[in-house]
Amino acid sequence: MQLRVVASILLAAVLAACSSEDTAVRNELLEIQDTNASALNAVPGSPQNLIPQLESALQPDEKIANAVPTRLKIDNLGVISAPIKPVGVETNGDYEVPGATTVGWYKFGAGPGGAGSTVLAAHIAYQGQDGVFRNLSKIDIGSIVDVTVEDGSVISYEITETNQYDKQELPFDEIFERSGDQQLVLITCGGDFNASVSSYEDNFVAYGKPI
Amino acid sequence: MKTKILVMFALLLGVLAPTAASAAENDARVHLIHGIPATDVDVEIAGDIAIDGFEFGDTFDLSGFAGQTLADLKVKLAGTDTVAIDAGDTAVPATGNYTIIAHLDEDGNPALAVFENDVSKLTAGEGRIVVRHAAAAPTVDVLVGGDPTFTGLVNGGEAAADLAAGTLSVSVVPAGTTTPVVIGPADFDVTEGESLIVYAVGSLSADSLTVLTEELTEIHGSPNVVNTGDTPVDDNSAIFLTFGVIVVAGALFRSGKLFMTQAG
Repeated sequence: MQLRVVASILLAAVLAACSSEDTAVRNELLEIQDTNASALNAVPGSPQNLIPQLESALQPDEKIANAVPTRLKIDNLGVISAPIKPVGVETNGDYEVPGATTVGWYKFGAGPGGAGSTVLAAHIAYQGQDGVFRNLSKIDIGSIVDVTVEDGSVISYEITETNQYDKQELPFDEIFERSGDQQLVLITCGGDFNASVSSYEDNFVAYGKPI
Repeated sequence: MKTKILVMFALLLGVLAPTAASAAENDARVHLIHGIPATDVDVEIAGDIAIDGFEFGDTFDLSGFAGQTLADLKVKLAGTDTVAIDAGDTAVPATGNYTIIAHLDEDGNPALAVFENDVSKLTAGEGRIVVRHAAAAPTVDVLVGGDPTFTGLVNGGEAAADLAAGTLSVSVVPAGTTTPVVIGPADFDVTEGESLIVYAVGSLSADSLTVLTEELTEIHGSPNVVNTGDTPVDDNSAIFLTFGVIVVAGALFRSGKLFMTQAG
């Protein structure tokens, strides 16, 4: 009896794993179909329906589907399941960072699975409250970061490098790279706090590779 | 098939001039677009067919030829000896980003136009739209959201704008008017960090006006700064402060209790 229960739990687990994988594949296929459809219907009002899309042949990897990240988990830092919100830039060109308890995903860059950097930024402390990345500067190389994406699947990264930079000297091109190897970039503030402008002097950045 | 021919041709040239070809490949991006509706052609270089059966909307990567001269370049109607465009010896730029389009001039004759592509970095949050007049049609204005945004565009001319990423409703009208709409209105998605190039092609008199689009990537900007904190934290003092408050509170509570006990 006990054996049968274990067996059916195992079976259920296997089925769940299979179906989530299938869903991922199906979503990918749907996305590919969507891409094709949008290429063909790019100009619905034009005299001809079929508008050839000419892609730059030099960046064949550009169109890899990016998953939309929804939740972040970093066991080592006690980040259990922080919500992630897609963000862009403020009107002044600054990174749009949500409130203390939410992580901001740079929606113009890569998402998990896409080429280049998936960038997640969150406060160290905001409006008197500890931010999601309150303890990011204490993260160890080798720590595991789990990112849940829209379809519920989880993509895990291992932290490979950390660095602290003067805010003005952040390696922007590298951090916001949109081609090449997949990487996760976690950003928060660090260094001295400048009370006159209520802002930190530095950014603390942790880089991760998918595992 | 066409790609294979190109690759073989590029390889052949690569063997003949390996240094020039490999150096050039990194420095230039040159694309050739077929922008004449309903006209299949062959492209001939130095008497040999380099592109066989090049069709409307096809694109051909000439980057491998950067810095070289294509001898006696001719565009012929497919499978015939009828020369549509006789470009003669044609130099492919050694550096930079160019699109060459085979199109109709204002009078409806086939021609080649060379456009240098603006690959300067965008501001974060913005995309670039470029409109190019490559159609057998007189001077036009381009309306974006109904407003004349790019005006007085002549065959072979272009106009561009960097703007917030989003969907634009675009129509093409004769210059100085808002009707009749000869192309569109059509929606175009301007993607953040990318350049969308829209070519007006075809012929007004043949009722074949339409558009081709080309996208350029890797020109995105970055946010100016990442501000992720307006409240100071001090790892050591924060802990001591919390701890200290508890200790002090505890002490006060105890002494208060002691005082009350004594009073009672």
